Amino acid sequence: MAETADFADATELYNGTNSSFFVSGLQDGDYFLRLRTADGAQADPLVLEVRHQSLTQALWLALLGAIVTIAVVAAILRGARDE
Amino acid sequence: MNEGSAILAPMTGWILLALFSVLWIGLGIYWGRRNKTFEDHALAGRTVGLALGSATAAATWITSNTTMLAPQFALQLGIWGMLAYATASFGLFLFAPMAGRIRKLMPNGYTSGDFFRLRYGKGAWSIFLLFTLFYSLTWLVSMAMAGGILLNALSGIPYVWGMSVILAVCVIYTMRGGLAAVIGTDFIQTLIIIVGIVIVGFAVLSNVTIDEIHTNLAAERPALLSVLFPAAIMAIFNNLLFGLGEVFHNNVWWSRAFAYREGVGGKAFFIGGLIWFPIPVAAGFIALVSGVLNVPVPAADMVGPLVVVSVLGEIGAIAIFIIVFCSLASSIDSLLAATSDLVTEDIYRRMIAPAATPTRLKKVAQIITLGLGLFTWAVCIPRIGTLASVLFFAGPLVGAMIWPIITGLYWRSANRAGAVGGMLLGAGVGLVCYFAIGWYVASLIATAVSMVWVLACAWLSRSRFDWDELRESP
Repeated sequence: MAETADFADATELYNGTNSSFFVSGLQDGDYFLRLRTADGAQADPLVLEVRHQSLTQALWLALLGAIVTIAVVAAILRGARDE
Repeated sequence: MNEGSAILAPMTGWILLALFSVLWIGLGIYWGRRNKTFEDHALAGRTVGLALGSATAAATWITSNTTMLAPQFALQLGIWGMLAYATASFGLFLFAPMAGRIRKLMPNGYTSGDFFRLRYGKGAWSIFLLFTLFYSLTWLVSMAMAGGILLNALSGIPYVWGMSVILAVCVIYTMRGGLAAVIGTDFIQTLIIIVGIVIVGFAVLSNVTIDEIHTNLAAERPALLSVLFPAAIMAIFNNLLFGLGEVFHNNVWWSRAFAYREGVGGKAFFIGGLIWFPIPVAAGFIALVSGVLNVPVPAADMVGPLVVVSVLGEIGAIAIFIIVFCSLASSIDSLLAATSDLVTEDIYRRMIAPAATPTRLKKVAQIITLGLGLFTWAVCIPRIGTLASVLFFAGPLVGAMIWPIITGLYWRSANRAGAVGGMLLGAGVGLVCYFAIGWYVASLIATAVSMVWVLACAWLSRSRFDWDELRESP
């Protein structure tokens, strides 16, 4: 896998007989992947585009989640007051 | 390691499966020998103490998801993902005070359905039954299916055989022993899971240092260490609220609140939460080690077993097999017992045969357990992989029930319009968001919408509920 199309900075992800490989935790950007057989034949490069979700949307949802959760905790800890 | 090969010899897998099957069935028959009535069978005579109570709360919540999906969460969403999964323990912590309240208000109660029927009437009760049966059956099917798939991946035992054996074992001991057998086996399963996870954790840590893990992640998977990883941030509260909804509404947890001896419920659920909390953190941590150990991961859901086997070899494979088997059994048995009690009490007793004797009810509960087992088996046979993901649809349904339950237990002003509207509006909007935005917002939006509606109805309400209406005679 490389971050440039000419594979100048390529690193080996896996060497073996598995038919799949799980990739995660990459930052935003385009990544280039290439398969090579044992006898040296190479497949055409595959471009992997990583675009994370909107951070603003995530923070708004986290704020909503915090409000709802605090309300739940408060309602339970406050208990029944009108008995 | 090749992805196509199992990590344990099939013969070893069969021997382990046979040993644990005999153990659980034997214990189920032994613990169920004193059960005479429905109350003995469904609620273990309402005399469960603190040690068994804490262990069963933790064990039931340790599903195969905890040991297999928590590493997947960590590998996909990083440190936040691992903590997001661990927030499911809040369900047990917050249910602790509610359990005491439930026992006090409903000393003769059997199910969470009883609460909805007596508190909000038959309309809300019907919606609750629809939502909870959907959730319980999809959870049951997903667990049984996961059992077959995992035993196959770990030991090469054919999917249908693994799924059938684990389901049959749980059905047999739950039918014979009822909740007493479920709680007793949960106690042993909890001990096995905790010891297994501790051994695995120390073995992994003796092979790598925290510095090495950090350096590897920073170089190869930097987003997993990011504090501002958007998908992980969104998962935190969604997962937390999904967990709250699951625990607050489901009869798996209510039946325990009714079964614990008076004064035990609050402590047992709190201790259960404390026992549970570190398990997904430890399981998730194992996934983050895969890079530094050079373990190739073909699919995210297999990262846990692959790392353990690379560190501990065949001993690790045996440990993972036993942990997975115990995690599955401790959840499948609880779901079978609680769902059969719900159907027996809420459908058979309340709708079909109100005059049924306690002995007859116990017999019906056993037949329903068998029926649930057969239904689950039939659905699991085709191995439709996408079926397990249906469980995620349940997120908005259970999230929408949180506020009707909390306010119904604590506020006299909570009313029928609030409960019915909260459940329908919350679930509806949540499901729309599930498809329009994604699973990671569905439970959160459903809970928020339901909260606004329920609170508005309570504030505008002039009616005040009489708590004595929840004290139905047995």
